[in-house]
Amino acid sequence: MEMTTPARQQMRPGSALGGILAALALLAGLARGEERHTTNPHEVMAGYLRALPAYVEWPTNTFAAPDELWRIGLLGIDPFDGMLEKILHDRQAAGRGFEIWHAPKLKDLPPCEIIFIAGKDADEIKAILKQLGSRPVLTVSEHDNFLVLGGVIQLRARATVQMTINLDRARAAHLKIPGKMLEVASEVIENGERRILKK
Amino acid sequence: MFLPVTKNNLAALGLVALCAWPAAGNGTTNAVPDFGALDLAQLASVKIDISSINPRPAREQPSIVSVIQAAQIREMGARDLMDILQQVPGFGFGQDVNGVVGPSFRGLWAYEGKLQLIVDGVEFNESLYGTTQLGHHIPADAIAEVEIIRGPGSAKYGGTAELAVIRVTTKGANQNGGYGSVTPSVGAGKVGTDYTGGFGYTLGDYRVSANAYVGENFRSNRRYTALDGTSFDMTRNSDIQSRLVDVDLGWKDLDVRLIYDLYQLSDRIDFGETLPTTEPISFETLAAVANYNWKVNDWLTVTPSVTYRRQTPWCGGVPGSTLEIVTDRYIGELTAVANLSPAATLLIGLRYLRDSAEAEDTSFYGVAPANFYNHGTSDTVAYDTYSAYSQFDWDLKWVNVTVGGRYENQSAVGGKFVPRLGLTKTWDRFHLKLLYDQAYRTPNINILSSPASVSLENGLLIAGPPASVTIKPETTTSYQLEAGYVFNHGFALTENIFYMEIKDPVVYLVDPGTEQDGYGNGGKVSTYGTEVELRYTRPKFSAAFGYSLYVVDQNTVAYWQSGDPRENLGLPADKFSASATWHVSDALSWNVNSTFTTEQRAYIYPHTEPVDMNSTFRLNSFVEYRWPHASIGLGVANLLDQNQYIAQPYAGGEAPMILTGREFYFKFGFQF
Repeated sequence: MEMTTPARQQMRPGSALGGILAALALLAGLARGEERHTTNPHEVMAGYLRALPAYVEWPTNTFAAPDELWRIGLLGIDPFDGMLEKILHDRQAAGRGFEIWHAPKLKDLPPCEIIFIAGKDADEIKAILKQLGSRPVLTVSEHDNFLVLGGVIQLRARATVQMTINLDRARAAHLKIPGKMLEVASEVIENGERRILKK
Repeated sequence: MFLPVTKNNLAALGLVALCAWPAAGNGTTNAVPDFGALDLAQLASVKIDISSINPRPAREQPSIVSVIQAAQIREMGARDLMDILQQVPGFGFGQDVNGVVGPSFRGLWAYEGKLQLIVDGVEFNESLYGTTQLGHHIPADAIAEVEIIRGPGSAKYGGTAELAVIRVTTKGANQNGGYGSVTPSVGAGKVGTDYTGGFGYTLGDYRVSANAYVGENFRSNRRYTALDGTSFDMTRNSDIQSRLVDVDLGWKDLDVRLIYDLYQLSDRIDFGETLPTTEPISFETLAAVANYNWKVNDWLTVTPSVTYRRQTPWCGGVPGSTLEIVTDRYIGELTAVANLSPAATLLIGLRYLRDSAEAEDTSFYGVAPANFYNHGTSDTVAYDTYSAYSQFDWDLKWVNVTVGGRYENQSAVGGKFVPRLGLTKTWDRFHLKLLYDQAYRTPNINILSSPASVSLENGLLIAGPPASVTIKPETTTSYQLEAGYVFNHGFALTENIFYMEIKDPVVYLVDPGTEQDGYGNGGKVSTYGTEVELRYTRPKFSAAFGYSLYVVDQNTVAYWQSGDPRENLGLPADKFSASATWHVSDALSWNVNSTFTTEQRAYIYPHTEPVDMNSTFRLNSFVEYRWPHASIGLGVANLLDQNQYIAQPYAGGEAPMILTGREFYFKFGFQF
């Protein structure tokens, strides 16, 4: 189809565009990298929940059978909006698949290895953590004071999603946090002291 | 002038893909990273792009926001931005002169300077009148995300962000790969085709991405009957040609973008009559933006940016009656975001904007270019606008508070301050937002300075004085209340109620007999209503339902009145939308989506007053099968072959057009 051209042509970039594109394509062909972006930090947090069981060590008697799945409990409102299910679908960590349980209250959840606590206020979180006691449960939340309240891992959305770890609470829950996790953590609490590992 | 579909240009587009192909393998197979495949170190390095001051989920943002991401767009088989907006509550479509189609919002004709369309940081509204053109414009396959702020965004975005803001983000460097697609569509024997391709890579501190699009389409394959009874078949008389090239280069925190956009219509619809042959009208934009995200320290980020934009909008016509005006826009902007504490964030911005125009050919108006601007004394005109804006977000124990405002001073019409206030709160599954906004729209170049000798008085078209003597800016006041509840298992319900009032609306007037047109201020127009969204998201099945209603509270503009005091002309009061996707397997998905709008009132032949037109039901289906590096999709748009009317929302002498009937299309895609 022939394009009709209006009376006067002020800009004539079209003829050069093919060349620009080709040059950029050549540049792109050379370029590779790893930088990733998202507008939704919860996508990254869902990735964390998938990855954490591959790092953290639970007590050896945590699973009764070799084909038992990782149980992730979502307590409170679901901030992932169905995304967690998508990300964990057909995934494995340490040779086990995942199953996800949602519940408004802790008593409605089956025993879980990981519990993500969402949308609760400080008093509710405190009560939940008290109920969990020293059970080997990796507790994760976005709450600003989660580590102070007694949680194990806090995820914070900033320029990246930052992970802070309460090593004291992990030890109390019989969970081993390997050094590899500390390499990516931004802060830890150890022996009651907060240490900033990286900004 | 443009990027015509020549062998050379198609070869260049092909080259884009082929040159990038060797890089395949290391890149992800999807445009969106697969976060489930990353280790902790990789997850910790994912950058969060912040669109609001703070990154917040939509339910916590101090605006009513819809976000549609690439995966949803792809699953529904959308071909352009208009397909996407069909599913968003509150949005409708209307017809301007020359067969141009644009958006309405909440019962108001938003198309002309009342809604801001931003593509990758560049405002796409044209400078002469502030209009936005839809329909085979902005290709869906190039879009990574559409963020829609339903309600005024003037305090932050200024200018035309009066009723709503549509922010389109195209696929960028984070793809670490590329894509391409060809989408031929067939309706009643007429074939249209979209070619879209792009890539994006990062290499250490460097980023590069590009998207390119060539579209050869048509508006309709139905018959158009003008108000004088003449009619023609639109099948071969409503061609739409569209081009987009969007290139982004980045180094560390520096980002430079170049965008070229061309949108051209060739149809026989004129000012209230049908032309014997098609007449071209084109809208052309070339823009360059550079910004530097300077992270001064861990709590302060300062971003200087500069934008240059050249446009040739509404260009074309027939020999002896053509229009060509070239506009230039220069923007210098400085924003600072300070995270004062974990609970308090302050945004401060300063902006200088210069809009200028040079008349090249104004024979359409029967005026020599040298007499077009500045009351007949010049072929050029320029306006300067200075703005200062600020927003403070403060998360308190009981409520999150947003306070902000913008002061804008324009050289022709003076200054005005518009405030905004937002209170938001989430309680576990429930959230509530109470929003108050004002918006201020300065009339655009040709409204302020064209030689039109018609004006508005008591809601009616009268001879002189020109609008430039009397025109005032319009001010919008908006009140919105939103409540939402999230049930278990990805099931969420949101509803808002709104009241929007435009004081001194800038009204476009045209006399179909003489084709004289001009602008004036109406008294007051206000609407109120509600919007409901229900979403269900599971791995195998997801569904969304939307409903919106507006009711006219007051309308003193005779040109916008429909004869029914509850509805504005050409804009249906109720809209239902629904979309369901079944993921049959990881590779196969099937989406069915639909929109239903109730009767609208419009001028149609042979009536001399507006009459009720039939409701419209549009049903679409799209099935897609995906391989790791390729995909094939089959879509049917308007499956039931219903009439979707696009009426003129003002008494401008145009009869409603009917969009394309049943249309089959294929999407052949590849990605690497």
